[in-house]
Amino acid sequence: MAQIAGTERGAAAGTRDAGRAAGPPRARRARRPKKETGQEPGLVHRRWWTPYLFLLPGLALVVLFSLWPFVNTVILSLTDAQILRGGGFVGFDNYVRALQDDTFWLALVNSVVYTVVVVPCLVFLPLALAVLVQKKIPGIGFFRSAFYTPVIASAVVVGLMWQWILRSDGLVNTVFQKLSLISEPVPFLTDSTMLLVSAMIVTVWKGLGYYMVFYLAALGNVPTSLYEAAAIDGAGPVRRFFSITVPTVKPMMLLVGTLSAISALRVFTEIYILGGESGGPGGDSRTLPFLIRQVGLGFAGETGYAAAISILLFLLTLVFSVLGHRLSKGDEN
Amino acid sequence: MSTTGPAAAKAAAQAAAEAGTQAVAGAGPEEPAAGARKPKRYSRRVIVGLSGRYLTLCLMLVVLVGPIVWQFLTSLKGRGENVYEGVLPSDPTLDNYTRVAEAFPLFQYVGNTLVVAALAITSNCLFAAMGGYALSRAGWRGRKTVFTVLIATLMFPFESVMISMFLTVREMGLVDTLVGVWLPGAVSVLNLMIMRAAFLAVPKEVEEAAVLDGANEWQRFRRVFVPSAKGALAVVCITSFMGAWDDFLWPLIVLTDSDNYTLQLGLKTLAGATTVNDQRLIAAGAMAALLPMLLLFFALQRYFFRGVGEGAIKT
Amino acid sequence: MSRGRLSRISIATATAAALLSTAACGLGGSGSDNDVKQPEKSGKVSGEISFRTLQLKPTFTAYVQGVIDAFEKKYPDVKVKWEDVPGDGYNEKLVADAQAGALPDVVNLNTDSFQLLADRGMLADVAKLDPAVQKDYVPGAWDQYKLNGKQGVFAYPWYVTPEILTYNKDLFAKSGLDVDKPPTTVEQFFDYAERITEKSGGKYAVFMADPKSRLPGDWQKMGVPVLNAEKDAFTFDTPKAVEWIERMKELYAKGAMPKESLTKSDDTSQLYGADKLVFGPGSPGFIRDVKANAPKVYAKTQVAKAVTGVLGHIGIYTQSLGVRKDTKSPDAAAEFAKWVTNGPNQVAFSKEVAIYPSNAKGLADPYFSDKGDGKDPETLARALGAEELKEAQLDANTPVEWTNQIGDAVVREMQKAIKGEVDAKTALTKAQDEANKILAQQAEQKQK
Repeated sequence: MAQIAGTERGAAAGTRDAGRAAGPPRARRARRPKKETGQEPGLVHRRWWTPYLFLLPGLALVVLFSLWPFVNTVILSLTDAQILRGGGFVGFDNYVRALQDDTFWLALVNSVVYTVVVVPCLVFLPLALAVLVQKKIPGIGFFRSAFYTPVIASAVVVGLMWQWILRSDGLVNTVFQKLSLISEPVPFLTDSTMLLVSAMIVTVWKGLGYYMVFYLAALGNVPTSLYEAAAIDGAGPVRRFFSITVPTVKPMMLLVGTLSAISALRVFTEIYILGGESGGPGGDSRTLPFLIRQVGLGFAGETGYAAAISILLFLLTLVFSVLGHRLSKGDEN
Repeated sequence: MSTTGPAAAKAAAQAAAEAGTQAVAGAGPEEPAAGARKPKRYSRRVIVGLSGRYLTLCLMLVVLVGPIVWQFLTSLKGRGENVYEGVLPSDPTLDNYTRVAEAFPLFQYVGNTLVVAALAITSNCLFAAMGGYALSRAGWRGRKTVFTVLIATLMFPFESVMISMFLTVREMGLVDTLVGVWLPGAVSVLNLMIMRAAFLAVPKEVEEAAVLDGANEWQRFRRVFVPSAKGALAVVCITSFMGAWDDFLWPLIVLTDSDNYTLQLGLKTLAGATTVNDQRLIAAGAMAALLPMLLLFFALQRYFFRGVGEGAIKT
Repeated sequence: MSRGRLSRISIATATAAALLSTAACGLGGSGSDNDVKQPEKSGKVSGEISFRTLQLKPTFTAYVQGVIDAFEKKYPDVKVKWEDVPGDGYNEKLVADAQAGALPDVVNLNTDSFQLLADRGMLADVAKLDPAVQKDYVPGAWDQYKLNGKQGVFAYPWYVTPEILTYNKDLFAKSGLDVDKPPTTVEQFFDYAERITEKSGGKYAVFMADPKSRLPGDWQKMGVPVLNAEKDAFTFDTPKAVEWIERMKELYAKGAMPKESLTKSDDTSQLYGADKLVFGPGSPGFIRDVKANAPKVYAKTQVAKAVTGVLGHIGIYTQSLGVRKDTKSPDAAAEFAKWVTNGPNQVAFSKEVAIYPSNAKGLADPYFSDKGDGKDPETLARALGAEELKEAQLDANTPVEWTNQIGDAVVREMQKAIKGEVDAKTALTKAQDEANKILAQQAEQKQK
């Protein structure tokens, strides 16, 4: 958990650099009253409870609508409760059962692979897209809005469209066969590995516009003068991207990384719309959330067991966050 | 770009950054001079760059807007036309949109949704900004714990907490009310995080200046920080509007009286087990629901750049 | 195949359905049988009752409101509060309400939600509430609402959607087959599919592989015993079932089915409506969809009685109305449920949409035997469906033991076998083992 809090440091550090580059002359700092110099970073709050007051509305709702239900899930995971039927305490039986289940491990591996591939794409590609639409040129508002449409398109329509593109007699296969690049159609949707790859493509495609918005907001922080100066200095666009843009939006990259990892670990819809109810042929493309739904679903829904897998998924998410922050910290040093 | 290795690239990048910083810190007047020295070369580069940019933009357009265009074209197809054959409508008509409006009390549902959306935008902008501000400031106990817990709640899937949420809302007597629909999403953790990231980026010097002016915490928040984070607030507006506009499952669970239905609930009645699934009608409904979101996005996208820099200069 | 239609749920539903249960927080056993007693009638039909339907607004607002108004006129002391819920998310809302102890007094149930709520003791025994009512319904429909190991009947049968055969007669004729002689057995269906494929040149497919909706129906139609007599073990691991897999595998390899239909079938309407599929999904409602979305293909559509194989009749899947066990007004609730499902009201309903009454008198209405000129698919489908329903029997239904979970487990093995990754016999044995394991597990949990 400590490492998560590490974001703060990472983020603050990144910002501080940017601030120093862009901000007004250092002169002001000298005029700061002495009693406040001990605090770094930030300022002394006049009343100790002010920050809590600021947080109160948000926290109250989070406790009521997120934390309490979560505690509930933890309790449920230690019981053999079924859907609409109470259960008794069974200790860690559900967890043991999950860890001994081959399907659980299959789903775990799929989820991990999915996340490892998707997250880097979702951290960098939307940033590139944001840079592309950042510049105010005629009609850019139209492009920005258009790029956002995949985010708000209905899942059913998205599913049908991608099927139409990826099916064995679909757009991609037809074009490739016409160009004689392949002799047999690529089994995008009927091979369990290819199905995962296809689902990843859809995830990234949907995420492009979504995270682009995050980056657009962050790019507002980059002073234009920095770019101009670098341009005069002879730095090409690629170099400017890495030397100016990336450091400035680093806090946002961390946020996007965390968010995209969380949603990648929760991937269900893409697999469902492309691979059907069974989770790909033979169910080999199932991810953890897929398994949770399958276990908890319907008449025989095992609430307790599903809760245990949910908690395991939560722990996995935690591990990823920790690793992510380690990585980003190592990068800084 | 050819580099000898990552280390070399990094060094080069650093050098460039330093150079850039110096240029900025050095002196302003040099810049226009530099620009004036070689105007012709500059503009040719701009033209090449611009056309390259538009080319890339159009390419991305093709890749990204497919489904919407498809749905839009379907919504224009007339009743005699085969929905599944061909992409272009042979005889475009707006008839389907009229039919959607007739199928259910469209404007009442839109009104209900707007109530929820307005509540959600207000509460999210206000509370997420306040919370995000507190999280971004150091000097209080429990900050890291709160932050960690908040991040962790992002990791529980909504569906797994839904029944608990429903029971809570029921206890509060808010079942079948629009307030009950709004409340659980009144402040999303995601928005808290967005605002926190935005406030972290506010240069310290700006805050210090405000302190020197004798501004108290609320005044600093209100007059210095909020104006500096307009871009992030625009994003919060969009995410909370989208949440309220697009949500289906939660309103369904909370609401029973169809007079209180939100738009998405109404739209679902266009497709179903006992109804004829007229794809043109469904497409028209989906387009009608999308349009406000796109318009809001279009209206707000220019604010994305009212980021830290501009806000800070204003104060 | 009405199941297929019902399972065409959108993502939202499937996404949330199961995890809902994850959150069921009551550990106190909100649904155990002993908590709630069977309601006692007072003899006075009065009070306010809530009535929930599955997606009938706005198309049938006038009809349902008419039925309610007539009832309120007959029983002035009763006030019916009608709420209509979209099909997507219907089960989720039911589970949430059940968990909160807030089920409506009279509620529309499909097979899945009926099983769940009845098993958890949340529905009143309607045979006890109203012993004389049974004779009003088609026997199969009535029996569908009994539960294994439980005394009683837990819902009033409502409307029915029968299975029929729909096909594109132009494509069918291209193979030289007689359009008026559709297949009647599964084996024949496969033979036809092979012939059609030989002539298709890869331009169109014959049917959707979709093992999820074909099983266990196809096996039952081939005479495979799905369960043993005691209904405590699956017995489908037979040479006939192996034959089914082998045929499916062969046809799949030849391209008789769209490759992707092995895992999903949500594009069936698209394919059929674009002349790319010979056999459409077998429900009369589908015909209306085709008529609306693909008028040209509708003109080429032929309907026939469903493939029933050795069974000789179709199964019977009805919607139903359950009465909440702890309702405050059992008299009014029971009376109202009976009112909605009575002959005249069901017939009136059926005339508005491609559904059928489960009420015996209702099904005898001349409306359902009128074939018109025998050319219009919609009219013909209605007549054929009604004819089939008169002979429908429960033994052609998917057994209640074949739960969604077991179906999925079997289907996964079948997918591997049809793709040719696993040998047919091996896959079948494994599927049966899996199914029996889950069945035993469920029985054990019930004991607790």
